[in-house]
Amino acid sequence: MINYLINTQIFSIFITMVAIYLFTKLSSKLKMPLLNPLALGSLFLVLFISFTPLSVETYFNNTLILRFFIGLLTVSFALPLYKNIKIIIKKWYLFLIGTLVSVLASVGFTILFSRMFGLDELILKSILAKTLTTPFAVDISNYLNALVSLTVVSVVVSGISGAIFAPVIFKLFNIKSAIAQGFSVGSVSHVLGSITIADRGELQLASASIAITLVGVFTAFFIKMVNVV
Amino acid sequence: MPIIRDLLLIILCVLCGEVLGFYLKFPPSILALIVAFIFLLSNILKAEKFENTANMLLKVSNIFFISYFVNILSLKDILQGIWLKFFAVIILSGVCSMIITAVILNLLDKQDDKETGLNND
Repeated sequence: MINYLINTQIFSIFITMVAIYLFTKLSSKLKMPLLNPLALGSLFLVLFISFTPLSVETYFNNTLILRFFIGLLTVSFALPLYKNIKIIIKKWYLFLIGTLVSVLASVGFTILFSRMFGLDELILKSILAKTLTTPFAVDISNYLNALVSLTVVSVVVSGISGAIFAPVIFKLFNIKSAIAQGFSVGSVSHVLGSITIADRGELQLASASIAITLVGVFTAFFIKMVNVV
Repeated sequence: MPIIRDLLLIILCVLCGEVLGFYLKFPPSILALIVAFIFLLSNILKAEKFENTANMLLKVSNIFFISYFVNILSLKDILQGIWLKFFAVIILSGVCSMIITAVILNLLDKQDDKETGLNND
């Protein structure tokens, strides 16, 4: 009976929601970037799968319905862009230059370091969109026929590391501009980083939201046009 | 009912994205975002009409990705022996990219503020 129940679709969805609920609560209480609900929830599920008759393949197939919403989620990013349209128009050249620099630097450094460390093409393709927010990264990863699971892990690692290093970078390089702070964090650490710099000011948060969307869209165009890998 | 209307509007944008993606050979959901943005700018779509549903989707977004993260277990053979390099590339390239973007924008914004100050004088 337990074996049957554990392998049902509803149980996989139930345990996923339990994991996310528990670790979202924990992370919102402790407010530490390292305690990312996605990473911790996944660790919990990995341990659960390791100690029960549920296999990774069954779990992955059972949760297909949850992945359907990713496409709808991407559309939701039109809202922060629309809401910040006045700031974009006022400082359009800053956002345009910031987007171009960020896309080129992110793709360029990923290719450079991957070659330096000897990572193969499939892994490079899978982490190329790592600085983007997950829905964009998944879409680009699918488009490149890469390993989407690796992409998602790289997005979370990039988000957490960026959120940790951002205050150090701002101090070391004397970054005082609110737009520079928000945009650089949003373009590398997406939503994760944006949450951690929200207390610095409204302009930082708005710039980060703009960066998340603009860098996501431009990276997709860049990868498509230049055919980087 | 509002949630169904909101979802319908979002799905309509996704459908447009799929049609465009078919012809342009481009990630459909990113085209869907552009369609939604154009609809918002041209007032075809009112922000308040799908704001609640969009915000709700953003808030619970972790649920949609967790299965990809768990599926990493099935990729352990591919990553065996290169875990450290994998994480090093992600962190190093992210930090370098953040430094360059922050430094350039900081310089430009400072210059812009100076020019605005001069104009005001």
